Amino acid sequence: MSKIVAPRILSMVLGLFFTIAIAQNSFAQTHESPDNAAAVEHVDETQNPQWKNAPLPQDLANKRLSQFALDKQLDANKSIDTNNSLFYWLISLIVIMLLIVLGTAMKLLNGLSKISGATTKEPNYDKLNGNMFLAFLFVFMGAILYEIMIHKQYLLPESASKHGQSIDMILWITFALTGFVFVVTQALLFIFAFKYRQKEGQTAIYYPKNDKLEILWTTIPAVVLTLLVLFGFRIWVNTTITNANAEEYYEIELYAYQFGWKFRYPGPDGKLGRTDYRLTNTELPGGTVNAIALDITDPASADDIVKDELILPKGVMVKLRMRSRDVLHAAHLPHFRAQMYCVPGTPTQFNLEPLYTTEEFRSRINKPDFNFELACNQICGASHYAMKREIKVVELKDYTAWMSSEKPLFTSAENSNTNQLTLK
Amino acid sequence: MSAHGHSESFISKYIFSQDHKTIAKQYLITGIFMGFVGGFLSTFFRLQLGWDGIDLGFLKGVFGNYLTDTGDAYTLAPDKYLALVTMHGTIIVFFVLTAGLSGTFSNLLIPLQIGARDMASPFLNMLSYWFFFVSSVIMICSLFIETGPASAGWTVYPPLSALPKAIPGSGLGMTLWLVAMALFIASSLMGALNYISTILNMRTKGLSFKKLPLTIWSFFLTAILGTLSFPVLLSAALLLIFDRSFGTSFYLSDIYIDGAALTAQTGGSPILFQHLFWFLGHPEVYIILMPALGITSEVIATNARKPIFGYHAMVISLLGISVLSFIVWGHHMFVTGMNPFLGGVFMIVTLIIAIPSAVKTFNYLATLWRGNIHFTNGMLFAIGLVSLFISGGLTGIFLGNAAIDIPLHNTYFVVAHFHIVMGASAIFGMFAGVYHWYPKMFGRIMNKKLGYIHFWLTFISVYCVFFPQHFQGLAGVPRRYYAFTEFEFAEVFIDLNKFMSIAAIIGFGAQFVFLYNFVTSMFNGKKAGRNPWKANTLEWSVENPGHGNWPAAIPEVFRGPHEYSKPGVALDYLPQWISDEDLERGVDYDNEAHDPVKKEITVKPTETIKEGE
Repeated sequence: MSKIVAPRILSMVLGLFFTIAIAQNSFAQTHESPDNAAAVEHVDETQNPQWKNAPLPQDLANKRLSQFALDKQLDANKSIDTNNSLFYWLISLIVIMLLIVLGTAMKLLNGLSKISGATTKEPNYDKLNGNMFLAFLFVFMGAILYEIMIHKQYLLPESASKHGQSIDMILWITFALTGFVFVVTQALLFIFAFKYRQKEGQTAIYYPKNDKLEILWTTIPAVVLTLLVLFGFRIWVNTTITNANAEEYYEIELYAYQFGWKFRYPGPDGKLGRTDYRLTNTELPGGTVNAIALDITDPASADDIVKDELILPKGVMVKLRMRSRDVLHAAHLPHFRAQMYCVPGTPTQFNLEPLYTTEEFRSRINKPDFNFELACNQICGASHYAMKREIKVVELKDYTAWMSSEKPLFTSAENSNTNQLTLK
Repeated sequence: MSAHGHSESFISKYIFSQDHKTIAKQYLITGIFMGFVGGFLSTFFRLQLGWDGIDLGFLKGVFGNYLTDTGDAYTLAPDKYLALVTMHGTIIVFFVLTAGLSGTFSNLLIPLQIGARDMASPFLNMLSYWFFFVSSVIMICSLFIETGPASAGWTVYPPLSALPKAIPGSGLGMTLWLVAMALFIASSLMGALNYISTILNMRTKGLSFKKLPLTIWSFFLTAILGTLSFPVLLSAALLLIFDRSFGTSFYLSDIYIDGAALTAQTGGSPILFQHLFWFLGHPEVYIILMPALGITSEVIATNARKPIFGYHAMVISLLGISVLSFIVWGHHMFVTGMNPFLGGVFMIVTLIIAIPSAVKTFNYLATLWRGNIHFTNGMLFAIGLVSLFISGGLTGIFLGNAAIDIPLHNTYFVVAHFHIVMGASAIFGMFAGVYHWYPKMFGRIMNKKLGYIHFWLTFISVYCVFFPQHFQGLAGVPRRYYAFTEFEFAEVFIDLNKFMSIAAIIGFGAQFVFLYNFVTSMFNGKKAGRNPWKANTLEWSVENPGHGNWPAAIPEVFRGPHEYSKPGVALDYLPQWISDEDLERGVDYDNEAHDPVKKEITVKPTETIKEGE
């Protein structure tokens, strides 16, 4: 029975698969280019669809080539005519040859050991492996120490935000605890492997259980983890819930799109206004492109300032609101220990309080050209890896002065007044 | 089913076979093939990560659609880097570590270790493999289509995976991915139902749940996890197919892409997909890991010549892990904008799961303590697994803590964590299983020396590739980055990435030693007797199990699976099928001619303990 049924099921499955594939294609074709009449040509150069394997922009390409020239390697590879299928035959031939050589060598070795079998003893593999385990333990621990030494200054640089300091604290506590357990258990494992390797006259002991030990090593991790959980939970609640309920804050919006960021500042009224994704890239009165889909019928929106740089005021609570134009992105601010997804259709937020201005931080870490960076940390498409903006932290008075000097995205007669920035 | 052999055609014997041992081999060989594909893909993108902008022109003939011509070099295209990452993850997680590992050893060991003639439904079993096979073929085909395979990461988060305009891989490539996964899930469900019903109903006389080998316990719980969680992924995938092909909007809302707003598709939530995905995704981690832990338990007990320490604690911790694995999925979503209070709850249950894992580790260490460790190839990989399980498990305590996860989420710290604890651990479990049960599959033993070379190269290169990624992650370097050139905090690790890439290439190369060993040992390997490792479980009672496994009656089980080095017993092992009366009569179970059922050879074994293998 099986002989008949199985091929039938297979063909059914294949049929289903082709049907879906065809349906997918035809749907995609009809759906391809419904030109939105309201949409103007998008002027955003970073918006170019990069999905036709287009070469990289020339300046980027130049930068890469000069920076990481691998000329010798490139030349070596060039000399092989890769178009030629002969190349692949050669590769396969070489692999086959290697396998044959390996096989013959194995046979020869086996033959030799058989001929001289009576005189030469097989090496003691138990001893060899035991020693290897012990050696591995020391090399492993040494390599970790070495790695920490050479990259010390880059690992977890000082936190630039207030909540980040408590996150760092629990991170270091966890680090110390797990580090201790790590060293002890790895050492025990490899030392046991070395010490109790098979030997003449050694017998294993019969020791199937010990309930007291089990209880001991259930309760100790349980107690330690409970402490970690309680501590971590408090920091988590402080970071997310308490900060989010802060009474006084400055709002800034991070707007993510393929592949870049725009930042919206509330302008004189201190409020971020309404948005509507259907208005994305439409033309605003005055000729500017509505790159972040402002709904200018809302007066709170009308005075909003849209910029390509993220400027944060120092020493106050900043509420970073997040939106996305197209796919998932994540705002990742490693120096501020802050991260939140930008979800199309679902606004998200993260509150933080910067502790130092960029200048202050530079002198703290002794790097005059240092900059805080904002990265995208959720896979979003071809240029995900280059979705970057620099972050500038300034004194609060400089921030407010800067904001009142900036023009809103949409300029009309009624919002030309420059009110003082009000605190919410 | 009759125990008597009957003549079969080539097709019914080797292709559409209903024999669990043949199906296990089919799973294993397909799994190894997929493993090499997945490994190759990772080597491919590690070349780019180590040497940014490297000329990959030599791959142009086969992987031309992944390369872009920059004028004087063929470099990997940035979106195709994401395609490689996606396919590497999908293939290794599902096709190698779920089907290849669980499929192989559940099929091989469940009937043999519980004393059954075959699975409860051999036909369903065969169907399960062939669904898996078709699924693999579709997945491999998707690598070669013009727009490239699925590119939204193995988690295929919409909207990226739903919009072909966002990334070309979300076109036909993603459709193929979804079709392949739907078939895969069907295959996995058929397999799992079979495993559960076989273990529940077909255990031989005397084999109570308290005497089950830990392998069977882990396969049983794995199958239950799979049955409960895979359907959720299927529904998630079906809704995604609807969103992609039929204009629904389960996951889509407020999207403007490629010059147009998707006004017809609005009101859905991308976060819904993440909930559905991780409801499978987290148990999936244990679906992968638990069989490896089960295999390790057996291999360690056998080769340390000691009973596994705390059998009951081991079973209870497996049960605990299984139950908890269903309520921790939110720890993948701490920073997606989920309600922070809910995040806190997920954090608490996540850290509880560390307790059973710790118990397992300590029990492994206690099993090795004062043992008489035989370094067979399987044992080396089992010890390697314990080491990796410790390293990767401990970093889970960082990531499970919601506060610490804020800076570490989606960084290389995560990559290091799951590659060590789930990827490499499970692969090591699989290797341990292959070396250990190769004699039951092919009647021969794999070459020991090549096995040593394979182990040490793999073990060292795994640590060299993945351990440094912790440091990169602590500095905040995000995963899935095509190059580290754009960010100051990532740039400093470029040298370290070269080192990792070299280690990865060596590690991949070492797998060819295994492949060579695997293939040639089938023909040239040393002939294995009935019980080459002097082990206790039922599969070692019969040499070359044929159709129906045992030629005559099925042996009865009298004791637990780990009676090694028992005081008062001459030999350092005491198989499950030997009763106390047999022992008193002095049945020589060490003798090759020993019959597990009739036990007529009653020559008393000598007092000296024979060396294993």
